[in-house]
Amino acid sequence: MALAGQPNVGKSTVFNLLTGLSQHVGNWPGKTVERKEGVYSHNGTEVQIVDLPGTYSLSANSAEELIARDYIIKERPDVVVAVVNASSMERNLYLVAELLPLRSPVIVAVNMMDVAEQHGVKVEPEVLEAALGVPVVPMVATKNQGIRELVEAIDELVSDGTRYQPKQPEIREDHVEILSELRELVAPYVPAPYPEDWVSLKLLEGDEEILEMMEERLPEGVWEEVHAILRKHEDAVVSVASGRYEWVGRMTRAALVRPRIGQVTLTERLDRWATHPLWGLLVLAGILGLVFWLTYSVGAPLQGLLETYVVAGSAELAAGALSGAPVWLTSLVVDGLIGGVGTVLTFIPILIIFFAFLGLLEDVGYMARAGYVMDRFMHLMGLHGKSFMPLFLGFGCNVPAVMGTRVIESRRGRLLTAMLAPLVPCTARMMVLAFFTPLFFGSAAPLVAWGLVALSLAVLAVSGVVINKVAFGGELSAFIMELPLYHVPNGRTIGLLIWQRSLAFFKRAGTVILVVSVLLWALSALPTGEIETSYLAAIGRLLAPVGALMGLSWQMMVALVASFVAKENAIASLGVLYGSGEASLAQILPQILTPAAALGYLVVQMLFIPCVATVATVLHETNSWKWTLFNVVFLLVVSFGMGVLVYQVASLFG
Amino acid sequence: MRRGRGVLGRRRGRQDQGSVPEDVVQVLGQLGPMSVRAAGGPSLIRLGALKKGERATIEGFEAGHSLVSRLAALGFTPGAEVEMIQNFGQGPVIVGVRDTRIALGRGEAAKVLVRDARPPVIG
Repeated sequence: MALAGQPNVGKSTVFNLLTGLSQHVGNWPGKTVERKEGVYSHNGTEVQIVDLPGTYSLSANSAEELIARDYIIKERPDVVVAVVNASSMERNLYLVAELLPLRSPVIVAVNMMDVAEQHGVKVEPEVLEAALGVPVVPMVATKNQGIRELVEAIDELVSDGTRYQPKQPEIREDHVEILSELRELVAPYVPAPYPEDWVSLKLLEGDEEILEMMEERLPEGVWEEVHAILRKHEDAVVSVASGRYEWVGRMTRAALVRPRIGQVTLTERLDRWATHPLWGLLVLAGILGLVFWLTYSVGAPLQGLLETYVVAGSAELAAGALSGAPVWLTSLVVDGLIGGVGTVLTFIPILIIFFAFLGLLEDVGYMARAGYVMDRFMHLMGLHGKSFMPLFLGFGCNVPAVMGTRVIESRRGRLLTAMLAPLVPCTARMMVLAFFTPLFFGSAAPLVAWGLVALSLAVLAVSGVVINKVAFGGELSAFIMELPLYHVPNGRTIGLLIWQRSLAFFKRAGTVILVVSVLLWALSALPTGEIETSYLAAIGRLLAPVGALMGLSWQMMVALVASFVAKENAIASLGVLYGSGEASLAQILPQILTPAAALGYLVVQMLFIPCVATVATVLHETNSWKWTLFNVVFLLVVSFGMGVLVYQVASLFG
Repeated sequence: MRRGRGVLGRRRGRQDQGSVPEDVVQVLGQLGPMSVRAAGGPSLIRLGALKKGERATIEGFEAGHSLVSRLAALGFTPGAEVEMIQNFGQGPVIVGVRDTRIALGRGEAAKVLVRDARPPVIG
């Protein structure tokens, strides 16, 4: 069984209700689009569900749409459940009009009946069922209503398909003849699982994928003829879409009662504030402020507790347990594994706070508004509103930020956002900042810290403008985004979201960090066992000339390299290099570094190559070594360049 | 060589969503930069020129195939009624179409042509 639906219809809530925790989240092969699968059993039979990506239609507009239609055509699920939103039936049934011509039988699940009612829309399922000729199940998934009826409807349809008599959407009259002409021409050449009618219709719509497919298969002469017809009817895409909407209009005429015009809805009232160019920004700033406040007042102390009790505790335990073992083994486990992987995992509480907030904002419907008010500013970088939230996520951690770029449709926008995300100062970098600034700048410390954050963001903005100009020719991608109706959030949906995203972080971060932690440990321990004479120190000395431009010793350069595993490792490795704990490091550092050098160091640290987990995520999401390498080199150049500049200028002023 | 010729004269890149001059789908033929008066009838204007609260009917597009395809799927089809929900003269607009609120970039809103319900201005 496959679950289809447009975005913002509560499809994942339906999916979660059906499968509970027995779901598997992965990626569609070769794509960075999430693929969710699960099972449920009913009357002794196990039903497999694939959650198709949310799509507005089944054209070739996005990777999601291609995945959804390919799955239905090629895998031929026994049933396709189309989840639709009762409060915007017309637009939602457009997708149903696209699903019906495919060969899998369709059940329409009308979700969010309660939201529709609040907005004065009434849907009559029986009338709709009679009109469409397919089973229609009303649902309120967030309140667990209608799920049993849906399961039964699926069961019934699979066991007895004879009663399934769908009304097929017709094409508008002005294109009927052309369509049948096309169909006659191409029908003998349509490859196996594709329905001939559907292929002809998609050709008429100018669908790129199908055009390419048929161009390869049609004999030259036939293709010329087809091509000539299509050229003459280039505007057919609009006509076909209009035809579908006219059909939907006829289907819903009796089944839908609309609200009186002029009625002011809750969404309208809230949007007067949330999408206003000024108030909207203030609302957004307030919400983001709250997220930060929670992160630092709740998340950071929790992180500290995990650090002292879990990481330090387990390090002690491990050291005790390994007391008989060779020194190098103890060092590998304690410094390498626990110090590297353990430290990164302490960031989980902060991430959970971020994920919870994002999940809540997404589920309520606010997220689209945040994108809307930020669109003007993102435009300056050749991005649009949808890039804002992934970037904001970067303040928590760059890994989910890069993963979050998936919400952007165009590859160009996704790439650019992923390139910029590492410039957002994450919590780990903020900790280094919080450790260093009071040592050097006294009462001006907060000012310096905020200045450095502002500098990071300024560099981000300038980089955006430059990369967009140079690599993408300054082209802007289209900004089209639905603003869903506000509704009461669902705890279960948000909970599952937090769980899945944290798990993804664990998996992604855990594996890569493990490898690099061990590697870095080896570099710091080999060949002598002393860090001062290790390979890592050699690398640091190699970088010393660059460091000299910023007034930095080789030890500071080693700290930069070590921060590749996790940013706050910089402090720990300095502690080791200067042969002291963190506490005494606080006394030693001001003696060996001038404030100017410290400032230069912090600038580099803020803009430096992100941690290894982020780099791995950039590689995974962009699916391109070229772009990942570019990102690393770009950040290296920018960070050292800015570091030198700031140090030299700061030295002038003493 | 048939490969790479491009179908319907369109570029092959799938990600370009802006307008591509050569393959602009013009449902209405040539139009001036701001608005054109259809003979006798109400004026034809760009969606982005509607003020808050104004309603109009969609007439067509001046945009590339992929943008037209996306807009049409969302309900922006000729004959559909639209209402401007928010338009501050700059930045993106919010448009109501088929029971849905859609945020559109200013550039995109300019590519949708609507027939205004307002009476034509004399002179």
